[in-house]
Amino acid sequence: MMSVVAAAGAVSLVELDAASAGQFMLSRPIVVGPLLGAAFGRPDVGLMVGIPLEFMSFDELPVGGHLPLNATIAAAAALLMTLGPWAVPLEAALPAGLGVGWVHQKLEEYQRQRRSLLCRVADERLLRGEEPPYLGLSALSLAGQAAATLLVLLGAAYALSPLLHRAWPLLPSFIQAGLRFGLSMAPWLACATLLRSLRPRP
Amino acid sequence: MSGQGLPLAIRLDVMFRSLLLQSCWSFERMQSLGFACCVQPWLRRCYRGEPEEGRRALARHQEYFNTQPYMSPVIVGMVCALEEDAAKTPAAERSVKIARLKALKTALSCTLAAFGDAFFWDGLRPLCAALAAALLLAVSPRGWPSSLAWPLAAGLACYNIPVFVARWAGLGFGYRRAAAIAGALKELPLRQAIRAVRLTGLAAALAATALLLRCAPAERRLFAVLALASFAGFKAIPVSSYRLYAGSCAAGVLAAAAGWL
Repeated sequence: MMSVVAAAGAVSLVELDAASAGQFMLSRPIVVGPLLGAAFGRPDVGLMVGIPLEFMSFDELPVGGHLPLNATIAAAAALLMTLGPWAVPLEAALPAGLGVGWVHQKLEEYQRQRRSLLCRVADERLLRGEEPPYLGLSALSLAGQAAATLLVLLGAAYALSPLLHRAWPLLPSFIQAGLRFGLSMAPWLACATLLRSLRPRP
Repeated sequence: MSGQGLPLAIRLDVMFRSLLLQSCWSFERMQSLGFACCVQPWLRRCYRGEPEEGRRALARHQEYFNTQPYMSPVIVGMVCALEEDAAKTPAAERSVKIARLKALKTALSCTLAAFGDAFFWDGLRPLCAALAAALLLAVSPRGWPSSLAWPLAAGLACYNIPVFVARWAGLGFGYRRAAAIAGALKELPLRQAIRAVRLTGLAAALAATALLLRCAPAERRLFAVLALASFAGFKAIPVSSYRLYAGSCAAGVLAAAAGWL
C-alpha cells in the first residue's frame, strides 16, 4: 500500500502534465483516479471518483486564459481523504475534493500572474546581450507548480481529512443522507455532461 | 529554405521543447517564452555568424503568443522556415520578411487554435475518455494491473497517437509549406475531421452510459434513467456540472429533511 505522502508526491508530478508539460493526458481524473485507487487497494473507489470527475470536467475547456477547476486535484484529494488513514466517507470527500480543486485553481492563477517575472528575466538577459535560459526558467516554473500542488494535497490529506473525520459523525443524519444522494447522482450527471459535450452541433 | 526539411537533431530538440510550451505560461504573454524556447536551437543555427541578429530574433518570439499546444509545432515549423529565409536575406531587406513572418504567425496561431480546440479538447479528449470508461466498466476491474491497465492504455493510445502525429508531422508540414501554409491548410478536411471525431465520441459516450446503467442495481435503473434525462435537461441551460452536483446534494439534504429519503 502506498503512503499518502508518496501518493501526493506522485500526483504533484503527474499534475504537471495537465497543462504545463507534455499534455499526454496522464493527469486526467480517469487515469489518476483508478491508478490511485489501485495503489491503495481500492480501484473501484478510484473509478467512482475518476470517471464522474473526468466527464464533469468537459463542461469547461482550457482555452485562452481560462483555467477550469482542477479536476485532477479534486479527484486525487478526494481519494487521499477517503483512502488515507482518516477514511473520510466518499460522500463527504468528493465535495471536499472539489473544494480543494477550486483552491488549486486559484493558486495556479496566482502562479500564472507571477510568471510575468520570468518574462522580465528573459527580457533583461536579451538586453544584456545574453541568450535567456529558457529551459532553466521552465524547470523553475515547473518545480514551483509541483511544490504548490504537493502542499495543497498534503493540506487536504493531513489538515482537512482529520477535520472531516471528526465532523462527519456530528452532522445531522439528513445532511449525511443528502450528501449520499448527491454522490449517487454524480455518475448520471457526469454522463449527461459527456453526452451534452459531444452533441451534434450545426 | 533548404527544401529537405529540418535536420533530425534539430527536429527532436524542437519537439522536446514543444512539450514545455506552456511551462512558463503567464497571463501577460501566454506561451511566448515557451515558443521562444522551441525556436531557439534553430535560430542559433540560422544566425550563427550574427549573434546580435539571433538575439533580435529571439526577442520577437518572446512577444505575446497563444495557440492550441498540439498545433504549435506547425507554427514553429513555419517560423523556422521563414526565419531561415530572413537570415539568408541581406540585412537591409530583412524587415519586410520579418513583418510578414509576424503577421503569418499571428494569423496562423488563431486559425490553428480554433481547429485544435474543437478537435482535440472538444472532440478527441471526450471520445478517448468515453472509450476508456466504457472499457473499464465492461471489464469490471478487480485490481491492478490485470483489468485496469489495458482499458487505460487503450484510451491513452487512442489519444496520444493522433496527438503525436499532429505534433511530429505538423512540424515538418509547417516547415515545408512555410508562407504558403494558409493555402495548404484550406485543402485539409479539418471540418470533416472534427465532425467525425465528435460523432465517434458520441457513440462511445452512449456505450459508456449504457454500460453504467447495466452496472446499476436493477431496481434503480428506471430512477437512473430519469436522473440522466433530468440532468440532460438541466445541461441545456449554461450551468456547470459542479454547480449541478452541489445542487443535487442540496436537493438531497432538503429531501432527507422532509423525510423523503
